[in-house]
Amino acid sequence: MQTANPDSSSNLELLLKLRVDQAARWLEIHPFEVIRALVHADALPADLRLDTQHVESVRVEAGLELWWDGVTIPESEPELLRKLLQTLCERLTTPEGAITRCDNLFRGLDRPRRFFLRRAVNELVRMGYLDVVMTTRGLSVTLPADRSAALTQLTADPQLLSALVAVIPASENIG
Amino acid sequence: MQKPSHNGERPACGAFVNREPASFVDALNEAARRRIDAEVEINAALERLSAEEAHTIQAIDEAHRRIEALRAQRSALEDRRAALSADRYRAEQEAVRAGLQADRDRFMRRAALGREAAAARNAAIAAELRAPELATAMQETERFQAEVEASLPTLPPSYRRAALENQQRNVRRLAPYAAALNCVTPTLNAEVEAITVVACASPAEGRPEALVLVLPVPFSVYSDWSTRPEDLASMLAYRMVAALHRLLGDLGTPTAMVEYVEVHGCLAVQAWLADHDVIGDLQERTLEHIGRAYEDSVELVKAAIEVHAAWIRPELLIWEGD
Repeated sequence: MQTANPDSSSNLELLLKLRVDQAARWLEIHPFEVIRALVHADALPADLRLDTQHVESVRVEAGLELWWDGVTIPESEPELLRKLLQTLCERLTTPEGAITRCDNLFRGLDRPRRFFLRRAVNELVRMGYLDVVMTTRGLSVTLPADRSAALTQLTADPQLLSALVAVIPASENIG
Repeated sequence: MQKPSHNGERPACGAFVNREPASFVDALNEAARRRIDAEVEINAALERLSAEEAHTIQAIDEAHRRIEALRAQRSALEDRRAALSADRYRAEQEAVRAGLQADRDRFMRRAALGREAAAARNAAIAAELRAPELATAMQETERFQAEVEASLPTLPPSYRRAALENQQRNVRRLAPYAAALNCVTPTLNAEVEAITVVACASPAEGRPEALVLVLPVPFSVYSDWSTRPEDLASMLAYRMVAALHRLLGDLGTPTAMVEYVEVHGCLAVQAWLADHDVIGDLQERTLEHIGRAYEDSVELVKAAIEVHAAWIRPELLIWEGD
């Protein structure tokens, strides 16, 4: 049993199961994505009330990952940008990162960093390093095998990386 | 030079007659007369033909004029029919729009009624849970969750068994209250409201490129989910989104892209099928899945909501000026 109905007194919360919108907040996805994952996992409860096992089913079925958990992010803006992009490229060149949900790249980051990474990924897609595909897990980004070496080279070359950072459209301040 | 005939008359035709017998001249004259008669006859026939031809040409001209008149009448009638068809088309579009919005408004009024009833139910349950036996069960449950559950593996087996048995008793005692609290609305003493989920495929005939379900709930159920409380409208949307994904699985198109758009102020769920091979009858299966989703929805039944499904032509959802 979980807590959280805002219009209930605390003792009632003891008896409440998890709502779909609560699970969505925890997982940082839309409630409809929670529903989709539970349908695909054949685990949608009849009363649409969830427990921790359902949340785990969603996490696994939807392929949700926390890429930035435990990653140290530099404070200064240029270094911060470089580190974020470098980490992104390194993660995508690993076998397990070759295809992943787009929102895995940003999950757990604050709003400015999230927006920066979105723009960076868009630029990488535009430049042909990455592909975007629709899968049962939702919108995903892939790194085709023949482009892996090019992305690794980009990540390892400070000048190329700086050039890429420079062409990412500016937006709100980061850091 | 021509010579006069024996009786002083000129022959009827140019011939050497002065020395020839009379019978020969007569024969020639007779031949000449016959030729003249024939010419007269032919001339008369030609005049009759000319008259008939003129009459026929006149009739043809008249027929042409008649055809033109008929065509003009046909064109006028077709214009009238097209105008009637456009009027009916607009009327049908308007009926769909008005129907969806009316359903949405009635449904949201029922959802508000459900929220009020749920608040009253929660207050009543909270009061009941203050009874000593239930209050103890609640306190023990709280303590179990906060302190005991995590340490169960470390407890001696007899303690662990006793703690679990006690908690199971508490769970059974509190189960009816938990079940009631976890439904978004209690059973409402209200008249049944029938609402319609509108479905269509585009194009109407042939290989489908898109499937659309329009739900009689506001678009904010999708767009503002993080700020609006989960309610009966959210539940209907969850049910229909689940139905759509089950349907896509049945159709052999589980990877079809799904989008959420606003149609006539309502939430529409749209699946793109153009790159997929659809297995089975799309209309029949769509209506089946919507019906099944409704049958599974305890909360809608409690709220006295009946969900119907309507399959319409896609052009009725495309509102000019949208």
